[in-house]
Amino acid sequence: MKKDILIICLILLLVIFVANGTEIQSVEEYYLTHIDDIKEDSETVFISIRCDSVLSHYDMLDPSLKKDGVLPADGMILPKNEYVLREGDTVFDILSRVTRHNRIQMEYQGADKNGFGSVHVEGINYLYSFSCGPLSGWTYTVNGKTAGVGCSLYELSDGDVIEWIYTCELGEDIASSEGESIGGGGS
Amino acid sequence: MEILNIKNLSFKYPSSEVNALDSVSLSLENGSFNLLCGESGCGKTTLLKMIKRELSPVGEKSGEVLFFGEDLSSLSDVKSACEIGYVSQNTDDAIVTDTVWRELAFGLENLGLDRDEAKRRVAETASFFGIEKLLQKKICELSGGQKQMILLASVMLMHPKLLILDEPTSKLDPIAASDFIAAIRKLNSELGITVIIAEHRIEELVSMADRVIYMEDGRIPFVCRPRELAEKLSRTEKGYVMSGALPGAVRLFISLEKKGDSPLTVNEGRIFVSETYKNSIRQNEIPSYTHSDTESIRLEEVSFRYSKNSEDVLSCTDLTVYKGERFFILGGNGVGKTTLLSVISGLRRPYRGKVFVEGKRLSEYKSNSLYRGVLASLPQDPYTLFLKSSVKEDLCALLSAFGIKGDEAERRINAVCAKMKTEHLLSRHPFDLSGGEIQKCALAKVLLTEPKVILLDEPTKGYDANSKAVFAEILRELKNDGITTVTVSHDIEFAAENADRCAMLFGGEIISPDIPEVFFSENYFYTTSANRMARGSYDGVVTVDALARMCNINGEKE
Amino acid sequence: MNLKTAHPFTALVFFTLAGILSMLTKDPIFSLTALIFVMLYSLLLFGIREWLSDIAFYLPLFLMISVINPMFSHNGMTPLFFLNGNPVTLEAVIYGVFIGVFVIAILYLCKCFTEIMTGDKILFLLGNIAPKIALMISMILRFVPLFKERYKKASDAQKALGVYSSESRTDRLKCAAEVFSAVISQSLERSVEVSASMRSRGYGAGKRSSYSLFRFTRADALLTSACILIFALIFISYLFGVLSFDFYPRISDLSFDLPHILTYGAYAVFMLIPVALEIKENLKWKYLISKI
Repeated sequence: MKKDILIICLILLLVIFVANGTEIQSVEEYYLTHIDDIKEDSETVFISIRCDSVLSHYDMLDPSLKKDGVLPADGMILPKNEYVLREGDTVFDILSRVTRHNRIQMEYQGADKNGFGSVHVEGINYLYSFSCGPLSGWTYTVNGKTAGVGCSLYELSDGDVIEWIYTCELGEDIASSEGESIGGGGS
Repeated sequence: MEILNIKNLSFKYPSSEVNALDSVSLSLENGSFNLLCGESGCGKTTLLKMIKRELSPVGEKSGEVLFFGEDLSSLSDVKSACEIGYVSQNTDDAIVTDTVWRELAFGLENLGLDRDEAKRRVAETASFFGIEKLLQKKICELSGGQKQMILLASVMLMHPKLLILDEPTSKLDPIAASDFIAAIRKLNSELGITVIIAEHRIEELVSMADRVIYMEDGRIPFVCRPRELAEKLSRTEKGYVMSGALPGAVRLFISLEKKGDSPLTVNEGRIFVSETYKNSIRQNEIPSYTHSDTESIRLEEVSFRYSKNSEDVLSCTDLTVYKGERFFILGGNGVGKTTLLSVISGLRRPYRGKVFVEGKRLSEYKSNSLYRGVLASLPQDPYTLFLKSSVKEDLCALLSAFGIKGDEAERRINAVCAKMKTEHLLSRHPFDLSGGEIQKCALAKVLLTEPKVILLDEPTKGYDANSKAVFAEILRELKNDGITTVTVSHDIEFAAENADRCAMLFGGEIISPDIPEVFFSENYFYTTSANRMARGSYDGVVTVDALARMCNINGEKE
Repeated sequence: MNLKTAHPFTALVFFTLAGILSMLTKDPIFSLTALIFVMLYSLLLFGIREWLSDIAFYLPLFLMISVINPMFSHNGMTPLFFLNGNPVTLEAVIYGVFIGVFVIAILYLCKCFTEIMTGDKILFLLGNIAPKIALMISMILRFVPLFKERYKKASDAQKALGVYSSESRTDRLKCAAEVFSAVISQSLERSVEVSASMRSRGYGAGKRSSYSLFRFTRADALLTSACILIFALIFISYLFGVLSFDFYPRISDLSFDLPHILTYGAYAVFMLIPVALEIKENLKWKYLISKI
C-alpha cells in the first residue's frame, strides 16, 4: 500500500517534469536578456510599474510584505522608461522583457493554463493578487485607457505608453498618471 | 416456596389449527433444578417463551402464569426483565454488542445502574464465571462455548431469580457443553437460582436435576424424579423413542424392562450390571465385517496447514474408505475434522500428498465435475445450504444450475423427496423448519446431485433422539444404495451404533480405523457409556443394546 | 499512566490540542519540535522495527513534498536558477522543506492517534454524547464480522454443491450476488431475535445509563489541565504575534528573545508529555521487574 503511494507519486512527478519540458538556466543566464538599443529609426514604447495604491491601503497589506526592502517606499517599482518595440510585441512581451532586464520578480500563468486565452500576471515584485485585500491585483493601461483584453493579446504600436498598476479596489482607487480615472481591471 | 405457577395454560399460534400448549399446569419450587424434555416440536420452546413475558409469542392464550403469586402481565418492566432470565440456543442472534464487556454492561445500562454498582456486578460476575480474561475481547474472536458463557453471564448480571434455558448447549461441542452445564449447576447449587432447562443432550442433566418435566404434544403427561423416568417413559409410546437421549444407564434399565428406580450415572450403571447379572459368558462373537474392494476415498500422506507459519492441521495422514461404507471420524474439538472434510471435498488444497475420490485424483476433476455426481458435502449448519424462500425453489435452482428444468426436474425432486420423506416440507421456508427437518431437506438437496460419496459434518449435533433415529435410518438407506458416507462427529454413542468403521483424528493423523466393537472396546476414556458400564463384566460391548443382550444371555444372579 | 492507559477524554484533549498547535503557525522551530517529539513517541509506541520501516516510507514522501513546492511556487526574493523561465527560489525550496516537515509530523501524529484511540475509546466518547448512536455502532461492529462469517459458510456450502465454482466469471459473480442477497435477507429475519434479546434484557424498560471500563483518575485531571494550561500559554503568545512567520517573499528572521524562547519551551514541554509518560512507564516496569 505504502509502496504503491510512493511509486504513484514518483511517476506523477516524472510526468510533470516531462510534460513541462525542462530547461534549466542559472540566474545570470536568465537575466542576460538582450534589450535592443534605441536607434533613431526604432519604434519604441514607454512602460512603468507602480503600486502606490498599496501605500494608501497599507493596513490591508499582507504582513509578510511589510518587511524591509520588499516594496519600494514610493510605490514605484519601475519608473517610466523607453524601450524598443519589436515586431508583433504584446503588452506581456514587453513586461516580460523589461522585468527580466531589471531583475524584477514576476510570476504568471500561461495562456494555455487558464480560461481567458491570455497570459495572466499573478504577481510582480512579490505583490500577488489578493496580497492587499480581497479586491487587489495587477492591471494595466495603454495610453491611459484600460485595454479590455488580456495582456498577451494586446499588440502594441509605436509610441504607446503602458502602465502596470496594482489596484486594491478593483481599479476604483487608481488614476492613471496620464489623467482620467480607470474603471475595471483586466490584466 | 413456589416461584412459578402455571395454571391451565393453553396457547394457539394464529396460523395453526391445533393448540401448541394444551391446558398445561406446572409449578416450580424456588431453588429447584427442572429439566424439561420431550421430542422436537412438542411445545417446549413455546412454553418457555410464555414464561418470559418479553418473548411471548402472539396468539390465542388462556390460563395464567403466576410469578411469586403475581400475574406475569402485571409485573413491572424492570422486574420482568431482571428477575426472569432467558438464554436461548441462537447465541449469535442473542448477543447485541461487539465486545464482551459492553455485552455484559448492556443489561445493566438498560436498568440505569450507576457506574460503581455496575462495575461491582461486572467484576463479581466475571470472576464467578471465570471470564475475566475475556472482558476486553471482541465477540467475534470467541468460540461458541465462550459466547454462550458470556450470554449466560450477561443474563446473570441482572440477578434473576428464575433462569430459563432453551437448548443452550445444542450448538456446542461436548466439552464446551459440559462446562456450560457445570456453570448452570453451580448457579443452582451455590446461589439457589431456580433453573428450568430444555435440552436434548440430557445425559449429564438427568443426574443433576431435581425434577424432570416430560412434554408431549403440548401437554405435560407427567413430572417425576429422574430415577422414575425410566419406568414412566417406557409406558408411553413416544417416550420410548425419546429415551434414546437418556443416559446409557437409564436406557439399559429400560431395555431390560426393569421397574422401579433406575441407575443414572455410568458408575451406578456399572454397579447395577455387576451386582444384578452373572458374567459367565464374557464376550459375544464380534460380528464380522467385510467391505467392498473398491476404494471410494484414498488419502496418501496428506498434509495441510492454513498458512505458511501455522502448524500442520493434517500431517502426513493416510485414509482409505471403501465403497458403500459408513465411515465415522471422531475426535475432540479443533483437531481438524472439518478441515479434513474440506480437503477431501477439494475446498482446500493440501500442500503435500494426494487425494483420490472414486479412483481419480482430485486435480483430474475439471471445474465442477467433482461435484456433479461424484461427491457432495453436508455442512455443519444445514441452513447455509438454502438461499431461497422455499425449499422447493432452492431445489429447482440447484437443478437448473445443472441444466435440468421442467418435468425432469419435477420428477427428480419428487423422487428424492419421497426417499427422504420431505414432500410435506417443500413449500415451507427453510428457516421455519426444525433442525431435524432442515437436515432431511439438506440431504435431499445434496442427493439431487446424485453423488457417490457424501461428506457429513456433525450431522447429529443438537438433535433429539427421534431425529437421530431417523437420521440413522437414512444413513442405512444410503448404504443400501451404495453411497459412501464419511461423517465427522463428536457423538460417540451415535457412531458406535451406526458406523461400519470408525477412526480417530488426533495430532493431524487418522488413527486406528476399525469396526466400532474393536475401536471402542480398546479405548479407555474415549468410549461409549455402555462400554464403560460393561467394564469388568463383559468384553467387546459398545452399545446399550449389545449390553442388554449380554445381560439377558447371562441371566440375573440368584 | 501513559496516554494508552489514560482516560479517552485525556488522550482526546491531548491530540486535539496537539493538532491545533501544529497548524497554528508556520514557525519552523515549532514544526521541527513537533516532528522530533512525535517521531520519538512513535519510536516508543511501535518499537524500532516498525519505526525504521516507517521512515523508509516517510523519507521519500518528505523529499517529494519538498521538491514539488518550488516547482509550482515561484515567489521569493532569492532565485537559485530558472526552470523554463520560472525562478526556483531559495524561499520556495525552504518552504517546501517546511511543508514536508509539517506533513510528516501530522502523519506521525495521526498514526499515534489511531494507535492510542482505539475504536473502543472513540465509542466510549461518542457514548457520552450520543448513547443511542454509540449502541448502534457497537451493534454494527458486532454484525459485520458475523455477516462475513455467515457469508463464508453459505458460499462454501454452495461451492461444495458445485453451483458456485463454474469457470465463467459472470456465473461466479451471479452466484456470489445470490448468496450475498440471501445472507442479507436471512440476517434481517434473524435481527428479530436480536431485538427480542434486547427487550428480554430490559432494553427500553427504563432510562439507560452508560457504563464504561474507563475511569477519569486524578492523574487524568492533572494531565488534562496541564495540557490545557500549556496550550493557553502558547495561544496567548500566538495572539500577541510571537509566532508570526513567513517564507515569502523573504524568510522571516528567527528570533530567540524571551517570548520566543518561552513559547518554544512551552511547546516542547507539551509535546514531551506523552514521551515522558511512556519512558516513565517503561522504567517503572523495568524497575519493578528487577525488584521481583
